[in-house]
Amino acid sequence: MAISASNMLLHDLNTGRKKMILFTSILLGVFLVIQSRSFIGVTIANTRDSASNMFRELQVLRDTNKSLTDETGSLEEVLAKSKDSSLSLKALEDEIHRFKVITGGLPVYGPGIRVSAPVGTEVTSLVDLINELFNSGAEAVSLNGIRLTGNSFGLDGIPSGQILLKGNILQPPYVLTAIGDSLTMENTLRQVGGFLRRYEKKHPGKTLKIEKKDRLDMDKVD
Amino acid sequence: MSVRLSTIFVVLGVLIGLFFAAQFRTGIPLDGTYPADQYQARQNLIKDFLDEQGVLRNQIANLNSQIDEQQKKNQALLSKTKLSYLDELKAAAGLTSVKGRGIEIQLSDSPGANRESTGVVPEALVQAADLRDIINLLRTGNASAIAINNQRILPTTHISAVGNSILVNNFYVAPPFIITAVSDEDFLYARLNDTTTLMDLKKRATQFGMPFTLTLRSHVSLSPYNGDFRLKYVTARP
Repeated sequence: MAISASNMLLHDLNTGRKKMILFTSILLGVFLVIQSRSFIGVTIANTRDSASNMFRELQVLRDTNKSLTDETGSLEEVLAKSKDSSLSLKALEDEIHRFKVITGGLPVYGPGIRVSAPVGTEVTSLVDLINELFNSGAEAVSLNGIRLTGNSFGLDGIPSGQILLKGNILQPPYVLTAIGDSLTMENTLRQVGGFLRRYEKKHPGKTLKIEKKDRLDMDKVD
Repeated sequence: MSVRLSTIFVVLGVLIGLFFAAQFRTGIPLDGTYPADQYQARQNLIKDFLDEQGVLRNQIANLNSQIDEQQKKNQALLSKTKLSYLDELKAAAGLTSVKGRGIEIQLSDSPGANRESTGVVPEALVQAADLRDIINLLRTGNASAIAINNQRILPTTHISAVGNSILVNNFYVAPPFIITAVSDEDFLYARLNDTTTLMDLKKRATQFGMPFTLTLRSHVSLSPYNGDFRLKYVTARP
């Protein structure tokens, strides 16, 4: 009798344990699914663009508005000078000089970074890299010595796997030079989830060479 | 039996702990996962910044117009050649409106896809990368002027994603995206219809029913650029 009661107790205990194991296993399965979905979401969202960040979003808007305010100030200055007959000629010449720099009509120099991408780099990666450089504050960018101005700098892949720019077949490595705040540009490329990581993921075994330079020179556009 | 069960529990406990840790350390950058008040505060801040941005861009457009008018008034004092040269440079910089024959591309998210929703399938949305690829393609076709939702595209323009939002020249643009280009429309039309171009976008457009149409236009009109030019680090070489 005592043995039978003991067996029943043991049976109940085992059934309870089995239920707990079952419950725990279900819980584990749920976590596995949630976690894997999280990773899939991150992978998709970050394929060609940086991860979303609320603070980054606000920072971009704040910096943009500051830059627009500065532009407004500088235009007000130009307008004031234009209204003053003794300064109007100088204002005109300054404007011409400024727009020649912007449109590539003058050779330019400045600090910045040089980024070399090896053979096998895809056109879309170069498009994204150029975009990332301008996004991080580059003021002038050239690719293999060709300054990117106007709207005629589209990159085209050709069947041989090479890349075409303004009718020129580019020889790898593809060297981008960008004049601007070198630290900001480098940090933007290297940040977690940034362009460099995405590039390495897309091109296994390849990486970008990023060098900061005190002075980079660019020729004027013909 | 008891030892085996204990072992199973320990292993399961450790695994659950690991998954908990991994889950909370995974930085899933999705909009809408913020607590409601934080999300609302963010939206308010963004709205304030965007309102300010709109005012500043209008001011810039007005100032550019006033400078042009003032310089025309000064024609007697200033060299006509120089004034005309400046006009050319400004046109090259995107500061003049452009009209002509061209092409219009309309592109939008899959119907029913909500950008603000956490569960949205990213592939059903137009991505910043899609717009970059289209602009790159238009540039290979020597488009003389391009705009996205009336935002002029310059050589320095960057098209970026912030969460599910898209910024062009750091200005928010929302679907439907209307991309306009002044160019040899037949050449561009052929390039855009080429099956080897924009393959990923075309595949997704078909798969998710994303509206994607190309229209040849005998007349398109693009507004001037009304943003800033950064010249802090670049210097003209003597």
